[in-house]
Amino acid sequence: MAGCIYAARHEKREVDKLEKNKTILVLKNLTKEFPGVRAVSDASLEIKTGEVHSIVGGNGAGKSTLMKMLAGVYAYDTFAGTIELNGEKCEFKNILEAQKKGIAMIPQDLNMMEELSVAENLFLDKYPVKHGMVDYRTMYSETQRIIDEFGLHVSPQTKVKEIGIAQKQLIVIARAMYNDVKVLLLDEPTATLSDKECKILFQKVDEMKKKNIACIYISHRLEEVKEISDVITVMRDGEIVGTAPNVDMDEKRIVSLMVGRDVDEVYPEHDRTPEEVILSIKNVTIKDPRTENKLVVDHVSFDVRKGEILSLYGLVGAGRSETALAMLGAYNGAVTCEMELKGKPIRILSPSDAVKYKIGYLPEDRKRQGVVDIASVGHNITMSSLSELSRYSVLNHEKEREMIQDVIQRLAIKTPTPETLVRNMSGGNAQKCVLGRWIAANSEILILDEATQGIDVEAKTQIYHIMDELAKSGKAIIFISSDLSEVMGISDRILTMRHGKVVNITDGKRAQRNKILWEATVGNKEE
Amino acid sequence: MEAKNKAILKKVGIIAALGILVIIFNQLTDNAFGSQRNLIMLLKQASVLMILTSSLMMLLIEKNFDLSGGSGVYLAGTICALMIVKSGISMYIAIPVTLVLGVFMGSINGFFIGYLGLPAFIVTLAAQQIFRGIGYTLTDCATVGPMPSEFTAISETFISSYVSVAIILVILAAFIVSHLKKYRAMGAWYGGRTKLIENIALASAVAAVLSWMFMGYRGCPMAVVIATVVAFAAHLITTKTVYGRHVYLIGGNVEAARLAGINTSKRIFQSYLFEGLMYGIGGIVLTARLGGAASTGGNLLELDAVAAACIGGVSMNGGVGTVLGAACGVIILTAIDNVMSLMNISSYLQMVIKGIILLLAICIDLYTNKAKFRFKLNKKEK
Repeated sequence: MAGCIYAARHEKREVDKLEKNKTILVLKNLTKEFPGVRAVSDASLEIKTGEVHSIVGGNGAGKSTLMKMLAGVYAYDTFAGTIELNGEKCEFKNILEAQKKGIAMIPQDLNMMEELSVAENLFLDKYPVKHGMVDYRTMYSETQRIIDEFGLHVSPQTKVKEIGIAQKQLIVIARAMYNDVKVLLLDEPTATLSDKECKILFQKVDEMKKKNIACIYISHRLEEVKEISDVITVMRDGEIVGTAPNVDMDEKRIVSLMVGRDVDEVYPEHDRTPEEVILSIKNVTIKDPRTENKLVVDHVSFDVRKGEILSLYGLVGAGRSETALAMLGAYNGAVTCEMELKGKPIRILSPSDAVKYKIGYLPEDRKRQGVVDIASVGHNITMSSLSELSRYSVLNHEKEREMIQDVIQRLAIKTPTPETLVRNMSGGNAQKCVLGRWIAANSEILILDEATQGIDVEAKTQIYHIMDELAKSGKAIIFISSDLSEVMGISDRILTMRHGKVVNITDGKRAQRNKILWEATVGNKEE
Repeated sequence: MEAKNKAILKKVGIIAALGILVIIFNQLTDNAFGSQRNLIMLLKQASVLMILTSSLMMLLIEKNFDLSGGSGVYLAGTICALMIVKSGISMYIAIPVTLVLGVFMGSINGFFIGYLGLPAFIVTLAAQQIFRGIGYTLTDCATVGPMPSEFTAISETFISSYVSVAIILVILAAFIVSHLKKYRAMGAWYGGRTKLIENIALASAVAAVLSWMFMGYRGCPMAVVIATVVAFAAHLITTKTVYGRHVYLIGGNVEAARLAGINTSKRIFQSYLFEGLMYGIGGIVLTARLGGAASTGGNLLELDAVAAACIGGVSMNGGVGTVLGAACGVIILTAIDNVMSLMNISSYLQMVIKGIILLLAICIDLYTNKAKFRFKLNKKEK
């Protein structure tokens, strides 16, 4: 009986055959706001069947948000604007409804059931049933058919955790196609793939094109986008700034669209004079735990001077946070890293070693790695300097109180009392607590990883000024950021990274936005 | 101002509720519960539980666990009894050896959980079997005893009434002086004058009740003295040491603590060492109280300790809890036990009632300590 259902579905797909070059998806004035930010504003697009439509843009340009609106991740009543599929207005409450209509998204993190088999993952939401039991026979034979169609060399019973990422992705795509997909959304599918795996993926995308499925392809890797797309759309700050056929969009035009104009000046005028080198990092190398022969970070070396702000700029996945974690001895995996502090070689095996050498790290993910949100503001500030506040491991509460008050005043942390729990505070103030922790610990070298992400403009400005003051007082700051404007505004030197490698180091005052972005997206290749 | 009134009202409410509870207990037991003798027996009964709870609560704050507590106490007590009764070793040697043994037992747990990073639940489950199994093998599951009277004196001697009251008064005076000093030094951080008056009033009330109890019966039992000293030590560790602060931070967010430079493995190892020391002390006090090491000794003690900590406001999600709260939990749990025994409720039914109380306590914990619960409710409303 189950077999009948699948046969029927198969026929239906034949009936639904898509015509080529017909407008299938129309987005009209889509706008999505988050508290304090307009992630997507007034975006309108038309997608045709059988075309690969790429959307490019820097981090935070709104690409992923737009896709999530399309795929039903955000319910239709949480944003403004309309989505029309085949001339029919769509109001998706959730992902399932979007899938039923034929819009499927392949997310960045695949969300597969690692412990289940390929077959079970393919039939996740609709196991074939016979007499109230799962009909494994039908399930496996159907899976085998799909696997053959996709040219995968796995058995239906293989557990998903045992297969490579590319194959996983293909299985997710197969699952989508199996459900009569009309529009396929691919969000950064190649971020974790090797070159060979990319080729397989592109081949599949090509095949889908031939079946007149519309593909929306999100990436910030320009070379791929150029290779695969029919139409390219560029987004910046939540807006669509340009759409044109691939032939009319060369890399130079894409980069210039991505760069845009300068935002209002919120950065401190800086006249810092960096002094001698305090820390040199040599040959940081990290192997990718998931893919063989691929390096997440590839022989990265640089120096940091006293009194300077060195920015590490790059797109997501360039290996900047990984480099920072490797320096702290906190990376979970095989790492090689040589460091010299003031000319003397040092070995850091854990963050507690780093604290001893007066290196502080403000993590990327404030909630998960930065603050202890159930503890008070005061305890969050002093947590790295308790050894200085104690004698024979007994705390000196008076000294601690003085330190907390000092930091709260210096950073203008808005809190009713120092005992207030961090979880009751705004993002900006919580971030200042983490920053204050390293100021309290008197760190000589500060690594700030996306320090201004997700906080309001006022707090951002304050953090820039604090950074400036710290640098002026002789601290070295390594500032990891994906926000080009702030990198341009605050740095003494800018180090661009791409695919785990250092592309270039530029003087902050002489840097040009186009060139920096070019280096981060395209690499060393001449313009 | 209104918030302040509300806070005062809440505190008065808690005290009134406690008073009503005591009256109800008294009524249920024909005034047997409130007698000085019974209350002193209650404290004595609570002492072993208090000893174990004061270290287990630290593990809970650290978001760890120990299922082997009861077995650890049993094994330490059994070996101590074996040394004294079977091998005739002097108790002045046997006691330090037992304490060292306890710390060693804790270090096994600590090594696997802290340094190898295995889940505490499984490691201590294994340890629970191993500890109790070793004890049964050594004794053939028989009771080891009787203990010499010098040994049972560790738990059973009474400090005479007048001396007890004198000691209480000295402690009260020390408490008041230290709080006055703290109030001067910390100023607003202390919480204002009302807080000071509140603290002194509360301490005086507790001292008065204890004095009344000790005057009415033979004085203060040694077991209670030991438990109090242990609890006070735990209080100092959690509030005044770097180690204690680290325990709270690790429980609050282990990843943030690690990246802030806290050596989390070492701290977790150390907290199991402390837990191990409590196996030793608990084992000695338990053996002394029972006059021998019975095979059922310390059975399910670890679960009582978790229940007590939970009732006393230690969060099962880590990062929150105080020794004072845990001590209240221990006394409440033991009081309920005591009342049920006085009422002749069968021990099987007692288990049911204790289980229900634990469930209630965890619900309260979830409601007060985590936003999750409220979050769930909100979602439903939507």
